[in-house]
Amino acid sequence: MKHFVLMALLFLLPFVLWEELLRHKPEPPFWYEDALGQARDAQLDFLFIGSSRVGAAIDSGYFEAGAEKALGRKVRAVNLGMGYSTLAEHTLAIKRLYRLHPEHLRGTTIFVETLAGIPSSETWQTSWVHQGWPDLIIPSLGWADLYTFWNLSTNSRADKFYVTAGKFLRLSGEAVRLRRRFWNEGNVALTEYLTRSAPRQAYDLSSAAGVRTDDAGVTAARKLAIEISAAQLKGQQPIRDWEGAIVHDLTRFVTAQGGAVVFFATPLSSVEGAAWRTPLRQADLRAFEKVAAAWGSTSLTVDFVAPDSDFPDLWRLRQSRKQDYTDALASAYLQSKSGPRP
Amino acid sequence: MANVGVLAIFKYYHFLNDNVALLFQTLGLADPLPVLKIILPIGLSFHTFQAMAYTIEIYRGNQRAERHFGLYALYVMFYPQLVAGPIERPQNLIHQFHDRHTFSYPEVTDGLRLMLWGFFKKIVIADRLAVLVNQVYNHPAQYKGAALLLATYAFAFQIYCDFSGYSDIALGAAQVMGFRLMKNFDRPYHAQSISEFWSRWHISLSTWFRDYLYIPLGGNRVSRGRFYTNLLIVFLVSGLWHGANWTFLVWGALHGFYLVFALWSGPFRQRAARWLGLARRPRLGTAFNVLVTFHLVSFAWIFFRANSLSDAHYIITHLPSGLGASVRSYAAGLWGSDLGLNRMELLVALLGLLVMELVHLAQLKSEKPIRQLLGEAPYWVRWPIYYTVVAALFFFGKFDAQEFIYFQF
Repeated sequence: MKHFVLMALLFLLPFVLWEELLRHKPEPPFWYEDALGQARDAQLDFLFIGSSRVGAAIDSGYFEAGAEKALGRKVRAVNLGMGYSTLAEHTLAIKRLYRLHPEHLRGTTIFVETLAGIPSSETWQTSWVHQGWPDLIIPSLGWADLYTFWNLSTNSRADKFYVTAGKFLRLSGEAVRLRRRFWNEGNVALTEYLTRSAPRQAYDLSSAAGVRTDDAGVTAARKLAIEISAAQLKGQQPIRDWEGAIVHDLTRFVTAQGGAVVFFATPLSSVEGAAWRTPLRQADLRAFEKVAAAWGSTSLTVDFVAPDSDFPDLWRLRQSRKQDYTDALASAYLQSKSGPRP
Repeated sequence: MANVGVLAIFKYYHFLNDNVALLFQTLGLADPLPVLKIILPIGLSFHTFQAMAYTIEIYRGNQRAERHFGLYALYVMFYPQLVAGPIERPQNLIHQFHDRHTFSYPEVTDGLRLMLWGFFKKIVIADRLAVLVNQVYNHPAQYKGAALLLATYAFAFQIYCDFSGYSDIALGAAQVMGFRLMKNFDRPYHAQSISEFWSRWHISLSTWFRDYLYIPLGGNRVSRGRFYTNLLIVFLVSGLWHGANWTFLVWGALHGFYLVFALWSGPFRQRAARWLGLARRPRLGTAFNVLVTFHLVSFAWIFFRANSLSDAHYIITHLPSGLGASVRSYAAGLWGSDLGLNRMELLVALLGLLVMELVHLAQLKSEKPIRQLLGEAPYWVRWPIYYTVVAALFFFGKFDAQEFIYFQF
């Protein structure tokens, strides 16, 4: 038995050494790192949260320039849109941000992504992390949150173990990133090899926020958009219960800290938009706008039209239209504040 | 009777009710049977058969009754094999509960090796192939030709890797605790006949049916007609054991038919083999037999996996549709992602199968079990292999919680 225990410990030794090595390396940048860094030094005025659609559609520097011209003062804006992120992750990260730098977040406006005006209706009893990306939540998850994560979230046991291990071990997060890189880059390399004689297409997409810009990635994304939209059109149920939604929790929190929440619609292709422009969803939108007003938050109507050719993968706006959309968003926001156009 | 009754109520009542309701509806009458909301206890089919084996062996005088209720309960519900077997015999298992067990380093490490291998088959191969199989078999009308063919082959390997992987984990877990369970699989797709296939596939179940149904019916010591009937009965019951659905009955009937046909056509096939020259080329003959057996089994798996008889009918009738064109298309690397697996996923599945077959072939040529050879190798040979398998589990494993297929039985 002693021999077995010794052998087992020896077997685990490389993992222990790897963990030790990782602890001496700087941590991989957390996707809220920019916000954390800026909030350390000065007031953060605007944060944009949501998926990779937000990451692709908003140029925070351009927004800052426009807002500064309109408001007559320096502003700081950070785009926190991230592919495969969930509202649960954003909410926990925002709460952590406020915990660390409350003095520089008083009065901050949080722009929350919506699809055709309706935000995510997820609750704490649904999925907290996107499968395959459990490492996004680890830096923001406190010990009490971890307990709730296990009890309430519908994520798989594998994801829950990864996240829990990630709280203790750098190795867990590193291993998840390695695995993801292996699969993404492996598939890209294999696809390129198999289709090496086929003409390559260049896509006007930024790879920021985790967006894939290779042929296989874009093709897969287009197919997924069509499938998801078709699935969403079948058996639609009304979205009316916002009391228990994470977005309500976020709004309450931000408002209590003296901040403001603004709901804005990211541009959608006709494929994605089809599921969100049905009569039922229009009714849901009207209902949500009333709820948002009752919460003291703002729902923006952004005057921006984009044909499907502006969405190379049917999900995200092309780079060359980023500033157009940012301009439209800024205008809509400033008009809602009764301010002049930038 | 009690055991069969429990199985009948929990597992077959809904099936019976559905079919009676359909019959009465056709006759314009109301369904006479009440609808019962009952949940199927996990592993019911397995531990019911295990309990029946105990009763029968005591009746036959081959086993002394166990007086200790706790040990009897442990025999019926021994946790490593509780949900999906192997279906143990009391002669093999009960005495082990009475034996004294001490920690054995070789047994524990051998058991862990077996579990590791089981996890590899389940998580890397079976769960990956399940994505493709589920995509096609749950929406068969969207596919034809090569997609249906590929999904059928994929299911053949999925069910093998899933079930044998589970069995390896169960056997390994029991071995770590000092208990030896019976082997349940022996490279079934290397079988050269359906009869041989059933001596290699789910061995604990096939021997159970042999000892407690086939032989009591008379086995092959009866007239030829009765012999064939016995085989059909055994396989029909086996099909029904697997699930309360007409598809499982057809699957079982097919295997029964295969066996009967093989027996009936034996002399003709031997003459055909001599005429084709296969008798002079034993390796070619073996390869031919293995391929034919594999395809017969795979054809039957269509019914096993299909959600309904009409789905199975669609798959069979649309398998040849545009087969040539779609095979050429897939072979050219223009792999469509409409099968649920991207190129990388499919490549990993194929590599996993290749590794598995290489291990099987190595096992064939080796006098000792591969695990034993590995156990005897120096640590600088063993440990890199262990780390490679662990890394393979991590990098290539599919962790989307695909339940073990045989858990539903």
